[in-house]
Amino acid sequence: METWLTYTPADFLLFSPRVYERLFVLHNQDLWPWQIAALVSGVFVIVLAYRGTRSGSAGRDPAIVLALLGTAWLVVATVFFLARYQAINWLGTYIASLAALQGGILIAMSFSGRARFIAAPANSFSYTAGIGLLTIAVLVYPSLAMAFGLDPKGAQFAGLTPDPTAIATLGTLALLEGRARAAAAVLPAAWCIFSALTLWTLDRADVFVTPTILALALVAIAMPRSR
Amino acid sequence: MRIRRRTVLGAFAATALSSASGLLPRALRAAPASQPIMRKIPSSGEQIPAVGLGSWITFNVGDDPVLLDECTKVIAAFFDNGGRLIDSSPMYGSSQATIGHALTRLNMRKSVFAADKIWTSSQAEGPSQFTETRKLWTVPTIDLMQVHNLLSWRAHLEMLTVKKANGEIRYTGITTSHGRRHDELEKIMENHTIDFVQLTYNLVDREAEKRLLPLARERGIAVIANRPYQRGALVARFAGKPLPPFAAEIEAHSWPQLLLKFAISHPAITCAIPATTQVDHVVENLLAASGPLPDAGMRDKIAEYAAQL
Repeated sequence: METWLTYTPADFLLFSPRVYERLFVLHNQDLWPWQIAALVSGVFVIVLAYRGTRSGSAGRDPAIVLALLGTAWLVVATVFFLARYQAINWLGTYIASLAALQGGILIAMSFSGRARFIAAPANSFSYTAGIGLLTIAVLVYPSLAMAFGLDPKGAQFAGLTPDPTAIATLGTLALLEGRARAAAAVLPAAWCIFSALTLWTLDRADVFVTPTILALALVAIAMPRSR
Repeated sequence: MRIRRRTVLGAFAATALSSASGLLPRALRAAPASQPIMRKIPSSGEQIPAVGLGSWITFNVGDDPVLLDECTKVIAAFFDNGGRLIDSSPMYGSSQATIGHALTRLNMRKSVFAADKIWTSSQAEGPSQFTETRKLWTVPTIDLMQVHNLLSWRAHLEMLTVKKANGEIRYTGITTSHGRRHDELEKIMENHTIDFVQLTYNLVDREAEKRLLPLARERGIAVIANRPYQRGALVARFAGKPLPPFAAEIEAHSWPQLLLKFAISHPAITCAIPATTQVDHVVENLLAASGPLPDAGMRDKIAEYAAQL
């Protein structure tokens, strides 16, 4: 036990900042032009979420959003964690399994028929936070690399890389009713913490982004729902 | 051999040439500018250079072709300047594959002194991990196999001892780092036959001087010093600070050279293994292992001077 107390997150760092930055550059090179499809799908999700929360709808809109997000996690599990990240971190295979599990959870929620969006007027904080997080994940995240002085070719897209996918998921869960939303938030939240620790050990300037968003998302998800 | 400014500049000129031709087989590359100090492995009498090459973080580059080329150039410069021992572990991501890639490109598979580790809590996985390691290195045999951070060390050391007897490896060892579990390592060194120990030793982390290093000398165990720069923290700490005037006496022209000379000048240290991604750093490291080293009196002066900064 005494020995374990001497470890810090930096002791588990396996790669350099440059390797991590270039990981996303190579990821984008290999996937082009799927970034366009990811962007269009992301905007579609925002539109459905906006429309659904304005009417507090059950049925098709939340089911489609959850199915798209579930698919996004399956894509991230395979094309990011297994095909790329695993090469520089032996935890990659385990993380890929958890990402696939997250995809399964969201798809199961989609097919349950019980997913329902909150009504926007009665849940203004969760609504604003949820739509805001979705917008950040889909539209702002791709420009973050450039904003923080990283290679813009390493831009991250929701549905193709884990951070914006996790944030889009948390944003969507903030817009849902039902207890399942909390359970479905566990793995995306865990990834946000893991990602922040990684950026912290890499001494990256964007280290504060994910934890800040996570804190906001958790409050929005935890807020009691009103009809 | 005394190293003057001309020698240092000559070495860096050779580095530039190496960088330009770093991916060529050794016969086509520049001759080494100087030869590093050699140290004897007590259990065999075999000599190895006093500075090797670590691979934690630096060689974990996945399948990035640009970074693989850069690592190959670092390893080319390492060999060009007299280096031989490269150390890795299955824990270090793709580092083993990166080294294997470079050794194949440089046609240096037979020249390297390959040092690697068994890193698994499962006794059953030990042999298959060894096979995988050899495959990734692309070498016929791993020279030194160590038990990483004492993980399941009894079972793995037993397995490695059998492999040594069978000629599959040449040396066995145990590693630790960051000064952890020295008491247990001491017991292993006292009660088991091993050829190498690997531990953290540098200007600041000197705990090993109390018991482990004297014991290594007494038991005839070679010592590999990891983290000689504390993963760059010591270089950063002393950056911009003046070198002590007496550094010139041992031909240390920079803090990294002084730090490395300090680490390898302990009589029990066989080899230090700084890791780097830079060709000029690897050349500077190997230059530190040539020329005079500090004696006991100067080692004290270096430690005293550094403590005041």
